[in-house]
Amino acid sequence: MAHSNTAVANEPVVTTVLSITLAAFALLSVLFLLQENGLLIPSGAAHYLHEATHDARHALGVPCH
Amino acid sequence: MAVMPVGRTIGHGALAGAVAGGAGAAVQYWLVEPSIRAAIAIEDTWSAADHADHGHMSDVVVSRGEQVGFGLLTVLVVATLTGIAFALVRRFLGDRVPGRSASGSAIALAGLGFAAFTLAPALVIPANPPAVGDPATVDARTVTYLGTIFCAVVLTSAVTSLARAKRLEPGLRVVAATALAIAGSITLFWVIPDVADPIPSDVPAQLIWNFRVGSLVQIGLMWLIMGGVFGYLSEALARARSGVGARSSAQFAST
Repeated sequence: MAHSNTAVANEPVVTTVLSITLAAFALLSVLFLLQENGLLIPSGAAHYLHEATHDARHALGVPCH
Repeated sequence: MAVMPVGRTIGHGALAGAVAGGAGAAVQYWLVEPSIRAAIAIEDTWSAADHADHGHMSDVVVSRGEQVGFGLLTVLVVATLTGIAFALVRRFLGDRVPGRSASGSAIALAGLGFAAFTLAPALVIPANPPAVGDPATVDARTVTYLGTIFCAVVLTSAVTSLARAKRLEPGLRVVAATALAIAGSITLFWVIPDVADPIPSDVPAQLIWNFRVGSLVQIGLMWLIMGGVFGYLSEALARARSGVGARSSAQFAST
C-alpha cells in the first residue's frame, strides 16, 4: 500500500503475459535491426539495412563482419 | 494503491529510452565516429592497394554520410525499444529489484543491465571498429556475444536475488552473493571460448583503444540516463498520486 514497488502483485495475468511478450518483442526488434542477415526479409533489403545501421552496430559493440 | 496502466509504463520507458538514445547518438557522433572514420580510411588503403573489385568502394548501397546519419537514428530507435523493455522488466520484477525508492531501483536495474548486457560482452568479445573483423568468424562471434549476455543475465539475477534472500542472515547474504559473483564470473570467463578476431598489424592500438573506450562511454551513459529519466518519471508519478485528492484526480483526468 505504502510502496509503489509492489504494483505488479495484483495485476491480471493477461497484462503480465502481454508485458513479457512485448518486452521480448522489443529486444528481438533490436536484434533484428542490428543483426538481420537476410533471414526474415529479402537479402537485398537486409543488405541495405545492414549498411544503414553499420555505424551504430560497431559503436554499440555488436559483432560485425 | 491503484496499479499503473501498462500503457503508462511503456510510455515512460519509451521516453526514457529516447532521451538516452539522443544523448547516446551525440556521444557516438563526437566520440566514436572519429575512430570509425580513421578505421574506414585504413580499409580504403587496403582496397586501393589490391585494386579491389570488392569492398566499400565499388558496391556502395549506403553512402558514408548516410551511414553516419542512419547510425545515429539507429541508436535512437534501439534505445527507445530498449527503454520499453527496461520499463516492462522493471514493472514485472516489482520490489525484487534492489533500491528503496522508485528512482533508486530504476538506477539499480540500469546498473545491473549495464553489467549483464554491456560490460560482460565487452570483456569477453570487445567492440571493434571497421577494419577489424573476419567475415568467416562473424557467426561464432555473434553466438558468443549473445551467449555471454544470456549467461551474464542469469548470473546477475542469481547474485542479486541471493543478496536479497530474506531467509539468510544479512552477513551470510553478503558473503554468499559475493562468492557467487566471483566464482560465477571466473567460471564464465574460463568456459566461454575466446573467439575475438586478431587486430591487423597496420591498425594502430591507439585507434582500437579510443574506439573501445568511446563505445563503452556511449553505452554506459545510455544506461545511466535511461535509468535516471525512468526513475525521475516514476518518482514524479508517485508524488502526484500521493498528493491531495483533488490534485491527484485532476492528474488522472488530464491524462
